[in-house]
Amino acid sequence: MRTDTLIDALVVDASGRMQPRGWLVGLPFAVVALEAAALVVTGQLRPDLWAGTPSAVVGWRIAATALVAVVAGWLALRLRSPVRTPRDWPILLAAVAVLLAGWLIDAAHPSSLPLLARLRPAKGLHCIAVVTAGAFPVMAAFVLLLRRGATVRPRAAATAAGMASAASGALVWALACPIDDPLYVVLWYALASALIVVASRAWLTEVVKLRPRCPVREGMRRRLREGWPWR
Amino acid sequence: MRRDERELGVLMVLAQQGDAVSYRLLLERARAWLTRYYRARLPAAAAEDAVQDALVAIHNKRATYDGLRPFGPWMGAIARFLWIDRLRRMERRAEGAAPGEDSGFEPRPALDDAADIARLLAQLKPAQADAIRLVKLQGYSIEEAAGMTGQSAPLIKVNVHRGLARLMRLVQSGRS
Repeated sequence: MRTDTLIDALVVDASGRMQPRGWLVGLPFAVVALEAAALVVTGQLRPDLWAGTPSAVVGWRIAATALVAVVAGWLALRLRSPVRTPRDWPILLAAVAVLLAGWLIDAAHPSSLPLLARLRPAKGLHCIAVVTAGAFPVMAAFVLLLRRGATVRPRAAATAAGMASAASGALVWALACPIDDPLYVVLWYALASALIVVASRAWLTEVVKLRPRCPVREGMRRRLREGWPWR
Repeated sequence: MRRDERELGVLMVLAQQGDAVSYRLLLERARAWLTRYYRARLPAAAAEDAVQDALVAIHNKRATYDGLRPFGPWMGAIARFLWIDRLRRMERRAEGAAPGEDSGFEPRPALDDAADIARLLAQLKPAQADAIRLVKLQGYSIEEAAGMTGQSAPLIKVNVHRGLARLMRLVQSGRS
């Protein structure tokens, strides 16, 4: 009989309320745009981007991070629905395409510098910190969206959200990063992204999981005092 | 069944627009379906709680239902996910409780549920029980479970599928 009480409460809670539209889906993209705008406002955008003459490496890393961000973001957003089971292969295909293009660019402009000079570990660590800082607000936007959704694949959703956030952070940093060596980009951007994805997979899986949360809107409060679930 | 599903879909679309009468009808019919679903898959004491959980989840997530798609798979996906999640929690409680120990903090039905799950798993073939325990209760991927058990990935899938079907039959036979 207690389930009858619950149904009464849910009907009261829902009556007269339109369901929110999907405009929030644009939130992660808005956050990335805001971060890019902040770069422009603070004057950190690369001068060659201002002039409209970026090198091949700059063009590649912007296109590559944007591609991964869009594909992984699309995957994360699809996973909000319990009945959509998107395939993982588009993200793998994007990653392979990105690495292949990077290898081709590197092969076209061979560097004579020793390996350690190309990798610049001190700058690389700075790169990881900046990409992570840029990824965090985007990840928060994805968490908000996924928690409003009903994902039944929380681990996949957390991984996709982490990958999209990491690629977004890398995309914003790609607009300012002064180093144009493809090897440097592949190593440090990929390392930063991997760290973010691993952390996201570990921490967000439980956060975005579909959970039956009792609504606490006015009108439900009296019933909530009776305790829920009602046995 | 298809007509029924279409009706439920229409009711949900009306509910999304704030129609209380349609929403009540929908929840009543969903309740009947969920009760059958969980009674076939869970110990009796847990089934009613699971129905309430699923109704609240349907309520909270009703915005994610797309009116152009059938309602049954949407509700079924939520119900199935909550079922598996409940099995996991029951398994964790079973692992956490020492034999014969009752701390006084854990409600009795949970301990009974945990014991039920352990008892049911013990009646499966070891390969099926291992596959269900790793993939469905402990959340490992198919590949990880394959690596841990030495079974191939397709065999893990088969064992999970057959094991769950056998679990259902065991619950039903235990009740009748």
